[in-house]
Amino acid sequence: MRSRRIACIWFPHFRAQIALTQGETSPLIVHHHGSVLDACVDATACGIVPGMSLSHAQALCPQASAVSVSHEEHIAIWEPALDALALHSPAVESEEIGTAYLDASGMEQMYGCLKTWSEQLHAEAQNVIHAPSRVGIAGNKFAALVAAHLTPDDPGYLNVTERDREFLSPLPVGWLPLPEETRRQLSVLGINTLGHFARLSATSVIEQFGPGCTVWHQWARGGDERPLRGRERKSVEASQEFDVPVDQFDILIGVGERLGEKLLPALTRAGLVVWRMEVELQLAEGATWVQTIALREPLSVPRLPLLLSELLSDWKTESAGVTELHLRLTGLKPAVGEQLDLFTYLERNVNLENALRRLATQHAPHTLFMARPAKPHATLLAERYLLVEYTHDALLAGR
Amino acid sequence: MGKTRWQQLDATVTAIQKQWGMGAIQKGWQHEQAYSQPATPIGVPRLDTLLGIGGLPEGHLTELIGRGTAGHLTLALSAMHQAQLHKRHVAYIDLSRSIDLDYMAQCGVDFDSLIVMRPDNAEQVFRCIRELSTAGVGAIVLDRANDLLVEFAGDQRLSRYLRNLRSVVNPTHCALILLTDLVGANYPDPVLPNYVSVRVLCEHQRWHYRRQSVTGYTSRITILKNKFAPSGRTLPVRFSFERRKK
Repeated sequence: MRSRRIACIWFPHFRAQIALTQGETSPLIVHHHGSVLDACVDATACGIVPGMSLSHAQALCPQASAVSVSHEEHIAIWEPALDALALHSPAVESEEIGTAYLDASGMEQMYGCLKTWSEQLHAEAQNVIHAPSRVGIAGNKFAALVAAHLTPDDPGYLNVTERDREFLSPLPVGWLPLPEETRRQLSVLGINTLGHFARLSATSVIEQFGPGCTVWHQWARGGDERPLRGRERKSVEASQEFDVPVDQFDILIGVGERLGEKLLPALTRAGLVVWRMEVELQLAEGATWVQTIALREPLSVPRLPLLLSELLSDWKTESAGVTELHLRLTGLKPAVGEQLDLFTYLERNVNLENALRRLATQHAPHTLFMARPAKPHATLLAERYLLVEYTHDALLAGR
Repeated sequence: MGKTRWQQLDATVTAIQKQWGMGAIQKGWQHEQAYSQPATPIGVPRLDTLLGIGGLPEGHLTELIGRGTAGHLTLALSAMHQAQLHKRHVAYIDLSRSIDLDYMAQCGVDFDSLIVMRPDNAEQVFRCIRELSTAGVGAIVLDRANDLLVEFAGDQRLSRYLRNLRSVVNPTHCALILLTDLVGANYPDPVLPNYVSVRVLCEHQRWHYRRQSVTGYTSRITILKNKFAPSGRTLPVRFSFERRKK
């Protein structure tokens, strides 16, 4: 039984695709301080690989244009994409730009099938970064990453149904991030596939390639135990622009409510609750009006109208009107499960027992009774049940 | 001057609600709010809907009026059963000392969470209700409330007691159900209706037979007073003995 499912969403040539969507032309090399970060498909076909020097890359593909992009610029594009993906999974982790791991456990039940879920991921990613993506789903991170890379463009989704070790077995050993020397040694020994490498004993691997290779050996055996560490989300927001400035309180509340209704279900699916809500109004005169409210209990859809009216109560309606409304939900925390009503029920029972004891003491005897079955099958109805005087023991006996 | 159509609509809705009650007309977005009054269902879905809040109001007094075999006791027992389904204890104040445990069992009342009280006087009744409602009991049925009222005939204390009772029950989630048996032609006491939030009249209409044996009866239920929805609504309800048998 597979308990853990991890999905890897991979954006091929992420940096180059971003540059292309910003108006650059293909072939294209993305570099930072003279070191190649990425290249588009055409440039890659010329033999350009990340890590190469820019001069070397330009020698391989003289017609390629070079673009210098800072890491911060890519982060600014990548973070909203992760936020969007987090709406569909309780945990999203990104080890490098362009690749993210998501917790896929239980998504089948929630979305009907994993294909539907992966389509949702594609759609969310496409909305934010306008670049194609591929999804691989397996039992661990390494297998999911390999599956994502092996996925064809259509359908852009591969769910590894067999065991991870079996899936990895026929693939070249080059999928492992091995040092160059180890790779050469394996080649000399005729170990070309992950299956061959996995069949070596752990002792042999340590003896031949050193203790550092035991991790890769485990990965080849389908035993990548790296946990999925979900990133902490800070906020989600939605906004609505108005063609005509709005100056009516009710309309703003209605719009805010709709925006909240749009955001909250996705947060619930991701296992998060909201403890702070912020409304930002872009006023027609050019100013911005912001109001925040800290919540005593997690935000829920039925409470939205009341909270919005509280938030907007300070807004001066004599302004020229609102052209844009932003609803920002912040203070996101993991939802904590509760045993509903269990302890309340116990407390209520204690209160009731105390009340009954008091009444029995004040009004006894023959005031407080409990009904008990006597002869349930008696012919005379009056004989079937009887009333017994209330005592604490009788109450306990009745349970 | 210068009122928008929305403001005019608001004013009209408010005027109608003032005249005919909150349930007479509601704005769409107020619908949920208007029904937010917690209620104990009776277990007759159409009657629960008719009451406007899904049952008998918790924290309020409800009066079920009827003659023998009109169905008011059955409705009360059914409400007790519904309260027990929500893990609440229920209490039955048996003033007439004529409790029918077998019928209660047939109506689905669970004896493990039932408290039966037989107070000697009105003082004790009010004290019991106060203790039980604040202790978390879900529904209290006061059988033959008119016996209690007779004790106070022409006495100013009744109003005071009922006012106190209402204020005690109000902050709790206890549905206090008063059963009034109509014996003569007139209603026993004109004071009680002022303090109850919902008044329901049950009138026996006809018996149902199958092969000369009685299988049930139909009663006409009229909502005489309702603070949560328009009153005056009528619904025939069929009570079946066969269905109740376990």
